[in-house]
Amino acid sequence: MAPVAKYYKYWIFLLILGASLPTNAQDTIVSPPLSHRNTLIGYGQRIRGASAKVNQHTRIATTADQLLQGTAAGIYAVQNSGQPAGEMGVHIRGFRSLLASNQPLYVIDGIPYYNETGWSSAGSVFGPAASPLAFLNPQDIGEIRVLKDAATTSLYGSRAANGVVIIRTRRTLPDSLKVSFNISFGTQTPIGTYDLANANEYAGFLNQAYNNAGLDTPYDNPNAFGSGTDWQNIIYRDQAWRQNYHLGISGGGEKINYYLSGEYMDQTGLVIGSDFQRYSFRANIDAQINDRTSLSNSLTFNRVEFNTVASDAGYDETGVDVITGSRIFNPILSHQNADGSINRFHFTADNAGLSSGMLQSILIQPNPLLLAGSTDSKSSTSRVSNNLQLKVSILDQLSLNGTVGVDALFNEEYTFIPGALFLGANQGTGSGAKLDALKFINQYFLEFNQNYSGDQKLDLVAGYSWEGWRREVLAGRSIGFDNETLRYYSLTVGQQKILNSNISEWGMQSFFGMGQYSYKDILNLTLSARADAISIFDNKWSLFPTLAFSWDLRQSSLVRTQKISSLIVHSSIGSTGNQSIPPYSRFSLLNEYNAALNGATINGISIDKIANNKLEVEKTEKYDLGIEVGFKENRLIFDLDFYRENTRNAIGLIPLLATSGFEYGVANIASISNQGLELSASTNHNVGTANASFQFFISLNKNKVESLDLRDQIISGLPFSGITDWSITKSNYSLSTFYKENPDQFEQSILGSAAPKMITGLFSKWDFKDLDFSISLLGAFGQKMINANNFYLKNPTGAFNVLADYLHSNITPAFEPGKPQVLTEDLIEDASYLRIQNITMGYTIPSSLLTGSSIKKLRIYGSAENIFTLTPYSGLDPDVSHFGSLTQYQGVDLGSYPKAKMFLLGLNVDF
Amino acid sequence: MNIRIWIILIILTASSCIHDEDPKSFITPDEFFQEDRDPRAAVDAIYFYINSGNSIYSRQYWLLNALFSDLAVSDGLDPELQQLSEFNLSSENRTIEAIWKGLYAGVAKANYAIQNIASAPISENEITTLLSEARFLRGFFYFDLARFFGDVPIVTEVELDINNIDYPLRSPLDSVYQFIEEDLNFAFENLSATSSPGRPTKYSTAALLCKYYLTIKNYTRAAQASRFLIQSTFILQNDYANLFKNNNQNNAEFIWSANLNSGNGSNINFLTLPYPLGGLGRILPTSSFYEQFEEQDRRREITFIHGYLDNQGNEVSIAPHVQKFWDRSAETIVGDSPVDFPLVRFADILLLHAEALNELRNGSSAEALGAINLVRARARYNGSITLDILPDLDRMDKADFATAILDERERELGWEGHRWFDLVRFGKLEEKVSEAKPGAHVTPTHYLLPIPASELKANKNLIQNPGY
Repeated sequence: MAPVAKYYKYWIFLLILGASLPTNAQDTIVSPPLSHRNTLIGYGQRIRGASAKVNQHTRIATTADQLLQGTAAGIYAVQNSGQPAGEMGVHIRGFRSLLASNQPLYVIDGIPYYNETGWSSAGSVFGPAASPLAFLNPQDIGEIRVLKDAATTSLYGSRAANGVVIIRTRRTLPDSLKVSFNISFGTQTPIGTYDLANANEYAGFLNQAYNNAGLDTPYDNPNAFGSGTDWQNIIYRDQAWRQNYHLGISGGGEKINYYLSGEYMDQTGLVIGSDFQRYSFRANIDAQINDRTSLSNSLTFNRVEFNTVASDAGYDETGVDVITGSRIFNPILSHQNADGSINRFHFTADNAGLSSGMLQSILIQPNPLLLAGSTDSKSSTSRVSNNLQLKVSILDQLSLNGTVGVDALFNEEYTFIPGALFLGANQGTGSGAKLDALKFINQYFLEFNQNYSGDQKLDLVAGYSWEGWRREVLAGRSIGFDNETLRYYSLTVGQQKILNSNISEWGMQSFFGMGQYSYKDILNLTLSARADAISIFDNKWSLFPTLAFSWDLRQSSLVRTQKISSLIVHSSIGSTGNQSIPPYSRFSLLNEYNAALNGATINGISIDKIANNKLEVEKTEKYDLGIEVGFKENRLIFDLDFYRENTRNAIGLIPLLATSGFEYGVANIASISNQGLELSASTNHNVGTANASFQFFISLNKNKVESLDLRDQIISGLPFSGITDWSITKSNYSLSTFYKENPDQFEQSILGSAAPKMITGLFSKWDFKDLDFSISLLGAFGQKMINANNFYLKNPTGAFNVLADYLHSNITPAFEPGKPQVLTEDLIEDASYLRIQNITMGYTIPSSLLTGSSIKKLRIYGSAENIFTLTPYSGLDPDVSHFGSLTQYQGVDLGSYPKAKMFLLGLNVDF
Repeated sequence: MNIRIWIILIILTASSCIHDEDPKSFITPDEFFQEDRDPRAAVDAIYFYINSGNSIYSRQYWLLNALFSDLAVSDGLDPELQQLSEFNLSSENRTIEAIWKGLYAGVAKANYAIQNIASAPISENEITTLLSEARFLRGFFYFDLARFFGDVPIVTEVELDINNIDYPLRSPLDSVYQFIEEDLNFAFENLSATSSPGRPTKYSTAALLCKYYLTIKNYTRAAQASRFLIQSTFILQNDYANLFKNNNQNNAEFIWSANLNSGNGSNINFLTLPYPLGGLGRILPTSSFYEQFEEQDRRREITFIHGYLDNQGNEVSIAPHVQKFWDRSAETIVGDSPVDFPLVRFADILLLHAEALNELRNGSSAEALGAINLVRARARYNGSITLDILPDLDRMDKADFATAILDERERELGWEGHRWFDLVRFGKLEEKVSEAKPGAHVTPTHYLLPIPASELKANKNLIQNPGY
């Protein structure tokens, strides 16, 4: 239990919190019934297994995936970037895929949604990916459940391996008219800033670097510059607001019930030029048509608008970003001219006192404020989703369910980069892209429920579903604007135009069935299977069977002690799949190869990708053993789960021998295992008008590559800051293991892993009369991070501004432009952290004061988010990922858009 | 009512079967070579591995020949380059890996064209023309593979399914050379004497054959090929300075070259110019290279730069850096040089001719001296007048003449991707390198490059070259 010992200080912190648990024996008993833990898994079925309900009531969430972070055992979620509505990397029970997505399947009101942003974005805007759930209003959500083991996920077959997140939006109970209006208003500040060298320190540093390189020093009098410009301050807005208005109306009668809502969300980004807005509307209608027929319809329309800035990129040939720019840009220079206009300079010869050629070779850096403020990057998406479910009772025991669902979205993205950002060259670039995506699902199932002599029960379900997905993109890019007034509104003005169109389609056809036998609700035995035919694979059909059982030891009277109020054991074994690779991955495809010839360009076409006619869906066998124990009439409940998951046929890119003519091929290459332990505890104490509840979890996971076919190891890595080949996939090491070349001693080449060993979370809510208070904490331990920001911030060449501490440390600066970066041990840091995620305090106006008014309930509250992080990590935030959710490339921090610390005031009114 | 409707709906949808995938936005192999212009596109794709900023001919080719010889040292900041400079080469070196991969990728594109051209709806004549162009390019790639690595696998087909790929053995050098000769002979017989500029002709094939025969020491054939070229229309440019100008591409001296454009250019100047001029100064000439030139040799002032004007207009003098390929008007921001990179030019042929004749006649001959003196004469012209320098060479014995030829090649063709090949061919790698770079660990191992480690890992059938 190395992590436990290693992170003792966090444990002490937790223990202090734990010690404040109220333990008054005279508490009134409020026991949550264990039966609610029979999870609704979809297709109308409930089962006992490893799942977790996500507590969503206090976090300030712009997107629903943020609610998954730190709220349930086994979920490691990373807020990849702090850009408003940025994507969350969600990993349930570990890393298990190389090329395929490791993100869970999101099922909203019974309809599977694609878990990747690429589905809903044409992909031309700057900055990191947005959340795939950005369209969904979190306040419309009634319940989120995370399904983890085979028992609960089995009915999702080829999409179940990464876990399933079941989201159910609000619906209404009969005869309960309620109008609720929620407003919140908040302000945001960056989670942190670096302490950097100021202008005179930097000038002195650069002088020294030049001097040591045998060059003339550029600045005669460094002290004359004073403190200079604080670029970090300049790119942030003075005030970054967040406002949200939500109106929910629920009501109905005996036959028809409805939930209607509208929302406006407006989150200004911390950085100038970035923001997020959402308009969403929902109508959920449930109707009992007659004795035998009921209908349930869920309709949403929403519009999401983003403005983004270039961030999370670094400063090299692969990218330029505002955030990194604000840290490394020359503090001697000023952001504005004497007349107050934005200084349109670059770090050019004149204002640095250097020769222009020298600067061209190393420092093509636009003013970060100019980069943020003069570029455009906007995305807007309109989306309509509707699904209609009809349930018909054919016989008393037999019913038929049918669902037709459509999700149609239309996305437009525009960007413009003025030529002024390219050292005066006439290289303005504009782009426009449109995406049209449609998903259609059609699914039917028969349910059969039969009770035999009261004690025995048989539930059967058998169904069929068909899904089709289509995504079409039309994009244009124009380079070299002679006149930039029209920006992207008239791409014809550009000199060079590049057009692109692309369509991709895939489909799936499935049969599924499940049989549950239960005896007195004590013993429960389940057998289920799903067969999926997926268009993406040549070998279309795959079968995913599961066997699960649960046994209530308390009810079966095997356990008689009064101290234990409930004791349930459940276990499952089953096969699940992961099919989330891009369509056409198995094909051999041709591509364009352009070359120069006599001053012109010739366009050749030749073979580009090698086929794999044996490509198969990834399969993950899941084993789970869980115990639920309740004490003190279930005031204290523990859940303990042991699991092991073996992923076989993990799909990856395999480097090929050059003589084949191809660099890479797609193949089923790896076996990966995850095993772990999850412990959750919840308590609820009630004394008079006071109530305190605690939910705590801790989970350990060990991720390991078991074997690799065809190769001993695969070294890869998307480039950042000139570093390539930094990630290794090798037997006995976890995925996302950092690597540097060291041919002599292999062990020294392994620099740690981005996979956390342990994650934990705590949520506590206290009510006292009209006051409520809640706190949530979360933490992840044992993962490492490449602090790539330090390529710049601890760079001895003087080419970039540096940390104040670094300047004062014992270093010898020397001007060495373009020195290749190498990955070194000291860039790898422990990224363990424990964060106070949210504190909320509320006050409900006593109902006695509201008598006579139409207001039923009035609550005002204040909430604070991302309050305090305890971490040994030296960067600003250990909870980031430069390469988004790509599992192979987790654990890189480079120019990450900082998370916001938020303070928010809100009002809930019920009429 | 609704039960019947539902049953109808179920039947309707259940029959909508899973579709077979059709990649509508991509061309699949089945769909290609169906139209008459497809074979041309397939052949044009091969040029990506020569005429582009991604090809080894705009990057690694000149760099290796400079650093892995007596011409250049690296500044030590990039360990990969330093390995080459110090002859401390590991099989992990990225330059070597890029050369291997780039050449075999070119071979694969050529193979794909050669395999399929005949199945397209075009005439026999067109088939032959395109085949000979593709086989010229394949022979060209294999010739460099053989010179760099020695025994190499001969691959003649592209396998399109990963499950069936071949793990070839290295073929003996003799069979590789035989294979090259067949390709080049086919091209020589079928290519016309002229082509659109930049594409191979009968003459560029003869130029390759000349080099090829010299390399395999068939001096008779080599001299035949060079004589064939000397008797053709190729001439030397009047002024050496005009050779490396963007507006003088595919001129009458260039027999075969890597055509480059802005946006698809070489990084040569970025690596060799000093940083006050926009380069990194990463690869620097050795003093022995610099001192090889007479002071007023036109080639010295074109090859090297000794100073620049700072932003106050003052002359700043610096150690010599190579600027040969820097056309200032065409490359205002250094890093993407559009200047064509000559692979064989007429001056090269003249010197090869002298080299072959020296072997055949066991010493200088009037014909050989005529060829080399032509090259020397041109270098006397300083842009306005002809100087009295670089006297014509006179009769000498075989060894001295060989030295004279090698030195002339250094002056005339330095930095153009010839030097390591030349030193290997002359058997003078150790001698010349240890003179120029006393610290370099040059050994007979370095007459070949190592097979890249990545290839050895991916293909267990390959054996490393001795010494690596």
